[in-house]
Amino acid sequence: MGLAVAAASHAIDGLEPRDVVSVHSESEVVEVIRGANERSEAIVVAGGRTRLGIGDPLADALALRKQRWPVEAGMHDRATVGGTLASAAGGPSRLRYFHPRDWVIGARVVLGDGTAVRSGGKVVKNVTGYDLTRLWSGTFGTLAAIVELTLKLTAVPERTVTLAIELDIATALAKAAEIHAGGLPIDALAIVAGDAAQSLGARGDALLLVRIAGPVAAVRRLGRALREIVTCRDVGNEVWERVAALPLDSKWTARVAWSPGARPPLEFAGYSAVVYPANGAAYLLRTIDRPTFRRVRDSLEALDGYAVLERAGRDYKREAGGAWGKSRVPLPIARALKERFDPRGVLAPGRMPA
Amino acid sequence: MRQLQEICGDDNVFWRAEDLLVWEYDAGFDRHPPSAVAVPGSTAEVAAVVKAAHDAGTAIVPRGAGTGLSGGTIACAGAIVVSTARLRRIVAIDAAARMAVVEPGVPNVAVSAAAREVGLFFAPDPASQRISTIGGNVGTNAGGPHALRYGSMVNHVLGIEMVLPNGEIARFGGTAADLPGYDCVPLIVGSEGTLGIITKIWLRLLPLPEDIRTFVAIFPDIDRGARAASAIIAGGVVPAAMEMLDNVTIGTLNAAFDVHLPPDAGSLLLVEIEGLHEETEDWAASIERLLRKNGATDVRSAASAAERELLWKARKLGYAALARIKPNNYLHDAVVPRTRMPEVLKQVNAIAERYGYVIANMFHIGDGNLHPVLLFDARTEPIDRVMEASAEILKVAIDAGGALTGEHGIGLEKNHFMPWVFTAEDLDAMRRARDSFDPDGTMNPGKIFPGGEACADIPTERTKRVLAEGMWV
Repeated sequence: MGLAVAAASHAIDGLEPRDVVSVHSESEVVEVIRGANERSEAIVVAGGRTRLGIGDPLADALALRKQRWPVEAGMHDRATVGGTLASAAGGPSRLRYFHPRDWVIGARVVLGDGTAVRSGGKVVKNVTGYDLTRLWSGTFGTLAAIVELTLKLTAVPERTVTLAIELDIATALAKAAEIHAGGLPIDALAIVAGDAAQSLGARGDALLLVRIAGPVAAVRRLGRALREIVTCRDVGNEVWERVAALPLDSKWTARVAWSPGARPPLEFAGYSAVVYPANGAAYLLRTIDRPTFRRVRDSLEALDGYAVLERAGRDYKREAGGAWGKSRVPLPIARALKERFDPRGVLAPGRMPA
Repeated sequence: MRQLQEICGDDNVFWRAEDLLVWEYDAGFDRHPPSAVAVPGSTAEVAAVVKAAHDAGTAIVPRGAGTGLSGGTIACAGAIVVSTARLRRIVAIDAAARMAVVEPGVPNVAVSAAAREVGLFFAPDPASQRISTIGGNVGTNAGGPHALRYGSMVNHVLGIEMVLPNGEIARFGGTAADLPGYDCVPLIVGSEGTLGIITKIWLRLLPLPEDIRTFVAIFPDIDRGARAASAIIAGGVVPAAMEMLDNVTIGTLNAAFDVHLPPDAGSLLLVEIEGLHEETEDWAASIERLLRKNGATDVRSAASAAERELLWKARKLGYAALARIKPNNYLHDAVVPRTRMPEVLKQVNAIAERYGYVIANMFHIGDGNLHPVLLFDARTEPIDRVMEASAEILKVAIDAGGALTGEHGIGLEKNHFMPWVFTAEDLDAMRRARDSFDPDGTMNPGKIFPGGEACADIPTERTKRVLAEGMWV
């Protein structure tokens, strides 16, 4: 599967790995991790290195059978399935298809001590022991290196249409809320704001994007219903690939989240951002000064949300109070998981709060 | 004991032998009394009970409504039971966030009832939903017929407040997705009370569908029904639910409910689709075509909401109605890859025939989740033989690439069979997760993991171990 177990192109936070190993089988992964474990060396598992790193071949193979893995992580020509799960990648598909982990039914991984283990299986409904497959999601390769995944697929909808309108950010947020509250089955809903909107060709402040999918008659009806709320035009579905890639293309990216039921404690005016309002999530794409960032983080954390620095310089992260902000998992549990799955701290030490 | 009474109040602690009788079993057939039962009324009381037990080195078994079928709430090793019966508040329904916050003792059906008022519903709908609690549903990662489209509990639990085995109160997940740190929510869902006691749950709600259509398709035999179900899944339309009922079940439901199903049918598919009118119209046409093409002799649709509700009532209460045939039964829960369903059903029915048991099949065929029910009379027929037939059924499912359980859990019913599907290293990885929460092993000992001695004095334990080893491959 071409997994690069972490040269200048592989630098993370300015740190360059001593060596880059490319592995092509589970036994090679086991060998590399065992060796590192014995020598107490650190390893960073890399996939396509889009986020810390679904690829077209998979998508093409599935499309022949009118099937797909309904997870849009951005940069589909580079992003890997393993990296998408390991980073719990967000994106447009989160609205209808929820979490990437809900589309993985089995996994083979190599733990920090070099033990290869399997979890889950080949069936869509399974409670045979702990769901370790889902536990690996969002762990950024700090507990285990993923070597094989069994995916759950879904059929490609008969028709998919994307509607867009340029608005000021406040109106865009209000219209998005109205669309979501109507309860219609919307396939994806995003607002691209500021410079990011202009990069997509918008002249205005913000671009509201709505995707609808399903049988032809249903899509026609949804389109009519949407046009009663906002006058929007058909812009083509390719725009979503660019929207999903924006947080990965940016030199500085902060992922922020709040309760989707609450008004976001951030009005996004003046920000370059991709906002997924119905999910209570957004990516800020243009660097903001550190005191402002800290204020944003505090206001989000006070409302049960967070601000995570996905892409920022080392100094920025340090002065902003760390990449993650306040950890929401009890630290004794996080530490215990890390110690038990990766006893010598070989896998990406320091990447997750633990 | 005095400590428990001080924490929960005298009325909420049970310890006399006669009071413990009702706490010694669940819906499976293993029994064992706890040493005491505490029914705390708040998270703080749960935490105090757990702390006291932890300090005393006493094991704890959390318990909801006791509808579990795999012995997950049977207290072994001198454990006390901590019941969630008094934690029954729906804390909040947040329509804008499409979220409910509930305590663990809330019955499943109450969540959808409360959500309906704001145009939302809660998707997991186990057949036990009128009685079973959300806490228990989380514990077993419960599913139900509509898991076909919407997934099981794990797809719908956003956050969990839990008392850890040392008595500390911790929170995992919640209102915003992907909080910083390891996301333990999907680990806790389906952990069968081995990681702590859940005291509050954040649940995802979904908008009520605009249109629901329910079909009953009649087949001359099981095989053609199973092939039709496979054809529908392969066709790309995912129904909200797709259930199979065999001839024995049809007869029972006709006798118990006013459903008037064709008594001669070899099998029946109950298919439900949900969505916009335009969607259901489209899907209904393709599903009906596939049903007929694959041998359905008749396809009817429920004419009204009342008729649909009656069909579902019969399906969900059908398990209890099987007592009309024989007083006891062994209800199984195994999953097979959907493409293997027709051949597996043949093998399962052949096993029942070889052992001479009447078998009733009423199950979630859409996601490959089998529920063969072996009917017997425990007064005259030895339990060991039923267990032997059941182990053979499980073996068939595993050989077909399936799973030991889809929605009921492992408990102490199937823990010794775990090596059929997982290597020692795989199981050790699960133990590493458990030990991260419960290094002393005081939470629900003897469940999920094979080989432990905590429940060794349960009468069926010996038989299970022999069967599990005998069929080891």
